[in-house]
Amino acid sequence: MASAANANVNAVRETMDVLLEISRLLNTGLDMESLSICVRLCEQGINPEALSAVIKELRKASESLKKTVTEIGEGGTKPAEKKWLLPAFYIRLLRTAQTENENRSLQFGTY
Amino acid sequence: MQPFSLQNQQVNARSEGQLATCSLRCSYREANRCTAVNINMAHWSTFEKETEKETKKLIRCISGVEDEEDQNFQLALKFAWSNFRFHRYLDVDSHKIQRSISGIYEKLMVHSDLSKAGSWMRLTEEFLNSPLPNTDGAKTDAHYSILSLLLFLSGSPSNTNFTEKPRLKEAEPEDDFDWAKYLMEGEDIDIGPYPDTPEWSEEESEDEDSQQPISREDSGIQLDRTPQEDQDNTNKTVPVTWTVGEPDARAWLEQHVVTPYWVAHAPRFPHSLHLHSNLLNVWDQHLYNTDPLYLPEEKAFVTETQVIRETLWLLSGVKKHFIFQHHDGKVSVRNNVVVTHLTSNCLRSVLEHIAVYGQAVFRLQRFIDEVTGYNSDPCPPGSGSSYSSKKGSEPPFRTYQAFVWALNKYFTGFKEELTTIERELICNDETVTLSAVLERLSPHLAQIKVLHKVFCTGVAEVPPATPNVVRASHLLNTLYKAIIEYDSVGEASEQAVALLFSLWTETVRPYLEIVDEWIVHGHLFDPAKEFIIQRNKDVPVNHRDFWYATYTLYSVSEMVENEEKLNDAASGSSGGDQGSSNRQLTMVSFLKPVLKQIIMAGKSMQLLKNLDCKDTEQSDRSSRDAERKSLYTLFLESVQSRLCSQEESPTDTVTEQQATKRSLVKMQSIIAQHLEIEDVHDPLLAINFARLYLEQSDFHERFSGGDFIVDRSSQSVTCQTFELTLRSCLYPHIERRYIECCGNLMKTLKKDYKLLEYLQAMRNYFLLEAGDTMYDFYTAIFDKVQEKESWQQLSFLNVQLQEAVGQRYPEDSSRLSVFLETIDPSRKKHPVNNLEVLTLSYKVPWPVDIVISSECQKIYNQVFLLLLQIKWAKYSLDTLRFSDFTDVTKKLEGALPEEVKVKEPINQQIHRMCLLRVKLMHFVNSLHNYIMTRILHSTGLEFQHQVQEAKDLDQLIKIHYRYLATIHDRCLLREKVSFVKEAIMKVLNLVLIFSDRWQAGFGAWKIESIDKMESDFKNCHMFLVTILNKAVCRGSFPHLESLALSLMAGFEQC
Repeated sequence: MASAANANVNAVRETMDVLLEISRLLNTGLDMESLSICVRLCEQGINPEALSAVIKELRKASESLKKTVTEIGEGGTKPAEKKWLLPAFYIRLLRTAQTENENRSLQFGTY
Repeated sequence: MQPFSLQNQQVNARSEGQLATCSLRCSYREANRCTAVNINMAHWSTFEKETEKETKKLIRCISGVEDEEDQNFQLALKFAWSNFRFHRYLDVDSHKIQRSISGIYEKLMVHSDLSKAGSWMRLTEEFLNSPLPNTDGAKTDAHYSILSLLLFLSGSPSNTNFTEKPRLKEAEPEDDFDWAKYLMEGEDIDIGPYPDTPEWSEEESEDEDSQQPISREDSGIQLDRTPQEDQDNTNKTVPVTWTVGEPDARAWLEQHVVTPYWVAHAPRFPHSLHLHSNLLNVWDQHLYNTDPLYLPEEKAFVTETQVIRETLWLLSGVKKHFIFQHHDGKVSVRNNVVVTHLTSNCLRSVLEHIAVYGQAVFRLQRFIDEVTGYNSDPCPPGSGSSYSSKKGSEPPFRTYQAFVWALNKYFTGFKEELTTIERELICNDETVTLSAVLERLSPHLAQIKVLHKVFCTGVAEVPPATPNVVRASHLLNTLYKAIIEYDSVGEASEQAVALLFSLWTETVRPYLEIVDEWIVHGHLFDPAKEFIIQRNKDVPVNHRDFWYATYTLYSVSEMVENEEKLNDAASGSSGGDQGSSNRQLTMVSFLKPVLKQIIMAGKSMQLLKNLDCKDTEQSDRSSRDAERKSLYTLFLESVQSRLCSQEESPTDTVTEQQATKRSLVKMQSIIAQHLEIEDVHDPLLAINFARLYLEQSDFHERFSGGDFIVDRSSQSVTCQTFELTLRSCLYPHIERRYIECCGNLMKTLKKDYKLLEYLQAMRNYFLLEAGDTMYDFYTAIFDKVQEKESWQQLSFLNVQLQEAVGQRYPEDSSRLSVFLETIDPSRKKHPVNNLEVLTLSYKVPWPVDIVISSECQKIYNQVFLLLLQIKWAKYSLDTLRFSDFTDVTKKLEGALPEEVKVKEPINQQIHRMCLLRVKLMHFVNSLHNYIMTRILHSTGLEFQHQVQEAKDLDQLIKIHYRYLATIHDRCLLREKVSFVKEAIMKVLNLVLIFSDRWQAGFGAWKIESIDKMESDFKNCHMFLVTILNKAVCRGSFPHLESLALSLMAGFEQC
């Protein structure tokens, strides 16, 4: 029983390796960890196109976050509260909120 | 901007068209939409929870935001959820995917990238036929959706353009490198069927093949292997790194040379195969077997000894490490460092704990380096001027330097400790473990934590453009507050208090030296402008504004960090108290109780230095100065003596070597006795005192050797009662100095500069105390007025004054002069106001004009004018003669009988005039008496008494002002009681008119005018009597009583 399970595990591992190769070949920029998360999400039925949109947006956001952090630099000794300065991000959220006709107040980071 | 707006439109369109396109999918969720986005649903299925967990992981992985509470994280999560749930994408179409796969293949072929095209086809084919972790079967929807995800992420696969190609090509060589890793991973599991390597890997370059056996051999640290095999392994790796041939030498090297663990792919060190020392492997194996997606990372193996040594190096301030990494001021732990006997998480948590301290040490060290300017050995803040002149011009001011010196001293001790540990480690005599080292260092680490906290609040958080005075006082304040704070915790933080106290005593040194210099030599030497009081450069010492405008007190508000400038005029005595509520914590707190004394002493000293002291004390003082101890020395000495002397009494009863436990009980009883003498019954206090003495016994031991170094004195002081220590050790010295300085100044002013004589002169001339002299002056004027001659000539007035004064006070005659001022014509209507043009002026020489300022002279002058007006009225009444009337009566007697009829009313008139005159005289005399004796004289006596007792110049000035305010007030010159003065002036005016009429002779009178004068006088008199009686009845003006009584008496007789 144990060996059967191990066989399965190994087979899956192999699949993942193949997948990683494909991902490398396509230059998606995913590493093993994020790839396995994506696989799990896809298996759970998340639409791949939506997932890819989310990933791209998150990358952009963290990119701009890093930029602002380096702009703030080491001048201030107190590490300032990191805020994502990503208008599109907020606007998108805001739109969603508006179309849903909610009075929910969204917390936007103070600039 | 373009992509953003496009995206937004898309989103907008998407969210609007959402219902239409995905109505089936969304209809169920529509009802729950708000809660769904909130991610707050209580009735989630496990499936959704799973998905949420994965989403969080994804966000963490891609955005790098670790903290789930982070606002950004929450935003991202919401965003991801709303995208996953409400999208308008079509489901995955396997045919489409197949088409794009073959499309890419075609593209690769077109670009004649054959190998890549081949591997692309093979890989996709293999993937589609392989099982997925949670999905059975091949070529399922999941397979296709994963592929489509990759295709989406790779760019736009439908129109792959040519620029995309080079990147794809570059991606290929990267594959090669990772195969080694892949193979290694395969190596780790030795159990189970060994999977076949994929066919395409065989096609790859041969490097991998050559690496393969090495990695296979190298990785074998497994439970089932025998030690012999392991030995073989190490032997195999040795030739790769070491070229020493002989086995003996190799063995020696293995023992004595540190493995270069910092090199990537460093050779593994041999270690025991016991289960305990292989915990990491066991754990990894477990993870690997249970989780198919677990992915072993590349690890750098180190030994615990190496970890300990790196820890020690980190704490001693070394900047380059393998295990710890510096990223612009932050210390972090390298990710993949492991030891064989701990799981990586466990090791990491321990190391991160150390890294925090490492960072604290690093920041402190950097600050020290900055201030010392990378001097290899920072020189101590040497005593005296040589130090200050040398360092004076340098940007880091003395308070920081002193602080750094204290820090440096602490770190020297700390590093000694570290070195000792490392030496023990090298000797290898006993087992040294990381936790043992941490345990041993824990008191030091706690101290470093305290230091770092103080440093952060006191130094690092100060914005860069802050002036030195704010920085210095902020640092001192922070230390002070920290001591008080830790002090109140009690026994728990004795170490911290001792450390902070020593830091504080060092740091406060420049301040005390500045104070010392100021109050001893009268010279505020502060080139870096760090002291809270600063000299205003533009005011010379011998200026009359010196006392008020010379110094600026910076009171630093911590909230706003701006300095308010307080003029010294207020600060001398009242300023310290005024508004102290909102400034409580803003100044340098420890100086606050004696700030007034410091300011007074400093200013007095400077003034004194600039006065030509006629005493011979000067030389005497300078000779004494060499032996004089500075304030700082005195402070340290009294801290010691205080602690030692208190310790003496217990040592009489208990010898020092005996157990402290026993002595505590004894001392407690002794102290309880002492306290009882002073009627204090507080057992807690007694215990605390006893404890205090006990701690000082350590102090005593340290310094009873005789040759104690003053600088080090405070290191072991544990002071439970910090403020008490200050009160008894620092403040008395300042207090003593203050009394000495101010006493000297007062003595000099009184003795050499005749302050008292000048005050007397002011009273003599302005308050007419020199009655005879001033009589000569004013009667000359009054006579002139009576003769209807013009008296308002400057020369005439001055001549009269000089004559009058010159006879009796020749030295004052040159100082006194009279001026005429034009007054506004509206006030001129009454004859009595004519006098108001007069201004008496007395030239007060420096430095007495600090006390008798021009403002004071103005008040003196007002009183002088009032007196003059009263004197005038009195004089004009006094000089009326009855002989004026006798002529008239005589004339009448010899007149015709028919004229006798008229005589009767004439006699009556004369009688009425005489009566009125007496009444007026009574009034004027009462007023005159009241002011001259009841007010001026008695207040003057009080004033003289107070002047004798005045301790400092500020007090003297205040007394003088208060005196002036009192007489001004009591002479009814205040605005508030101007109606009383008005009535009095009316009466005085009436007197003048009356005497005018009298002297004009009988014929000029008219019965109506007498009536009018009588009624006017009666009205004013009655008004005054009522008003004064009311005031007296209220009891608020006891001095008015006599005036009210005498006026009342005059009124009743009417």
